[in-house]
Amino acid sequence: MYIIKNAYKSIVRAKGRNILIFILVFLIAVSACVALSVRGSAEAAKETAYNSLSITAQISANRQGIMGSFGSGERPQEGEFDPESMMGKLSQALTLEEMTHYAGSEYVDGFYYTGSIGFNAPEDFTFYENTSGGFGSFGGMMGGGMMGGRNSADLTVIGYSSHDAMTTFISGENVIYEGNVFEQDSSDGSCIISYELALLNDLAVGDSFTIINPQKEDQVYTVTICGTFLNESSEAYANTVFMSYASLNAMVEDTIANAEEVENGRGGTTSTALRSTVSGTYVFSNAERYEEFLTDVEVLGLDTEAYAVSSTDLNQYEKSVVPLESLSKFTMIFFIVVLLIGGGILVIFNMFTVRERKYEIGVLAAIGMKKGTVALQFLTETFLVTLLAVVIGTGIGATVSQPVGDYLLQEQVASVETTTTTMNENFGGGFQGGGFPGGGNRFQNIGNLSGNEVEYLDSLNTTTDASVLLSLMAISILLTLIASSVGMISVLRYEPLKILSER
Amino acid sequence: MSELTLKDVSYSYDKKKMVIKNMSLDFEEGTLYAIVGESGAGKTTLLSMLSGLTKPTMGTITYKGQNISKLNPYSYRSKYVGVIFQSYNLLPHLNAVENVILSMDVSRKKIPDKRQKAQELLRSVGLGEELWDRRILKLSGGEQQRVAIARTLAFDSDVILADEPTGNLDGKTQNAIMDIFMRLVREQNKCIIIVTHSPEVAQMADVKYELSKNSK
Repeated sequence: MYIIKNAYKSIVRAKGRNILIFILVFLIAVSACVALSVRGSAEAAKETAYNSLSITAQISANRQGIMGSFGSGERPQEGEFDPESMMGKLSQALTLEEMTHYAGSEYVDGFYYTGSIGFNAPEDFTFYENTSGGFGSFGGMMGGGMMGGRNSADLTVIGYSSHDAMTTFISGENVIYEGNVFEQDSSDGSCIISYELALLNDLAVGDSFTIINPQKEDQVYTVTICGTFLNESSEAYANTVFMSYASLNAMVEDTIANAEEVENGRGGTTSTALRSTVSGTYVFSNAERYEEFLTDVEVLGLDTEAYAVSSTDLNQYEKSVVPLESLSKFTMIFFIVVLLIGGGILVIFNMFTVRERKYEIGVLAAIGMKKGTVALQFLTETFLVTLLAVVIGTGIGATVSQPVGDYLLQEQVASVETTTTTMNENFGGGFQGGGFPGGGNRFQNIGNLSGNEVEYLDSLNTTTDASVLLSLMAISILLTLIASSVGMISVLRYEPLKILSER
Repeated sequence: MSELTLKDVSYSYDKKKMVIKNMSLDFEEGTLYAIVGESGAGKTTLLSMLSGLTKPTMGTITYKGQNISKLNPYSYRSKYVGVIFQSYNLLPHLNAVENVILSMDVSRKKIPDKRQKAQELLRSVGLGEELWDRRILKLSGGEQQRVAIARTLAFDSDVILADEPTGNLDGKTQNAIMDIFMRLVREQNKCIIIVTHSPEVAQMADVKYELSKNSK
């Protein structure tokens, strides 16, 4: 007990020395608190985003695997390389039955699919012609692009197995303008078309129009408009008809049932039956289940050399957390540097302090205080000052960590955005990097810049939690031990009589 | 009964020149000893060896029959032997009372009211009350000497070793300090060994040993 009492007296009566230690440890504590809080919050934000991630995935041709199996780096011998075979493999797709089979995995929480086919329209049907002016200038398009005719092109008919599959409507890209969306299980030919298409053809909700099998002109199907939609950001869907997969499939089945073989003009014959291009989407309630599915799908029989499971959501997530990861790394490096430099200065400072206090050590040893006790008293002094500095430093660090964390994250986001913008500009706005084997982490992180726009996680709820407090407590003990260690060794080496006689 | 015994004790700094050679002495309880002699005769070295701060080059020193080199030197100095240093060796960041209390703390002896006892000791060595809470560096040499004496008396050791304890004191205070020593010897049966240049102090001792360079 008297050691603490003596340590306290020594601290308050040697203010200059202890204020210097206090300031140094205080600065270390503030820096460490901010660094640990920001890092912890960045990690927590990443984890929260990961855990709350609802993931959708597709199974498609494994481009890397297929390309890899054709080109192993060496020049192929004659007869080894078969472009047609490779193209065939690249364009292969799972059938709906196969997709449904993999949807039976216990890790899949939902499955939907879409089918799309090109149909022709009657001669008098007017298509929307894409303009460079965009949809924003509706009046201009009325006099220009919208009036333009289109004779041989198609209407793209997309059938959805579920409303969940209608991602462009869910995201708000397409918005119902008049009427309602079709029933997802209906097979009565109900459809929705773009407002422009309806306007150009004087169609309204409740009206019907016909679409034609492009392979067989007398095979005509009537669809009924149950709603129209608007898309203010893109013209991509202006000539698209949306309906349920059941409606689309009813037409496909009919073309199959009434199929004929016709000459294809190349000396052969082609069936008039239509086949839709089906794309399946698997839904997972979290990323872990998606990761489990990657393994399970192999168990269920997927040839992973030919097919690959991919998720744009996970890619998006990985891209969105790049600033957080950078911030986390930066704060960790900063934390280590601060500890090393601060700890080093403390050690040197303590060495000088102990030399300065040699006489005190000599006196205490001469009156019978054990060297270990003297060392313990010095250690206690350093610890008390360090503890006080860490407590106050933590309080201030916790207060400033939020604005500092926000500022640092904004800087990281800006830095990543600048890099991606520069990269995109270098590629003329068409950078498609990220998918090449061996393309490097930098490219893979940036990903497809011309594709989906990345929404970065740009806010932090910075909190100094119990783990940070415990870490700081451990740091204060560690700093005390490091700072005192050299001094302690000196104390144990000193001989009291020698010190006193030198004096 | 012998408190401290030297048997064939020698000491040299460089193993060539003996400062003390084959010294055998007994220091008994209830006796005041004076060690006198010219400078360089080994008086302070003898005191250092008796206090355990220096080990003899040859021979043994025993405390109540136990070889002090086998005892823990810190416990020996904090419990059994009190040392009054010539240069006081007080802690400058503490005041007079605190220096005395520290000595009690280090001894780990159970003393009920340490502050009160410290004040009594300071009063007994003639340090005015107004000086008790004053930092050591603000006290004169004589005042520091009194604090050093009080500090040594604080933990009630059996033996007191004093190196010129009255060297900085005026004649009146010197007598007062010697009275305290005499009382401790007579009433509490202490063994007090004083190194001194003062013939008056030596005169008051029960036993006087004189060291000379020639005697080595």
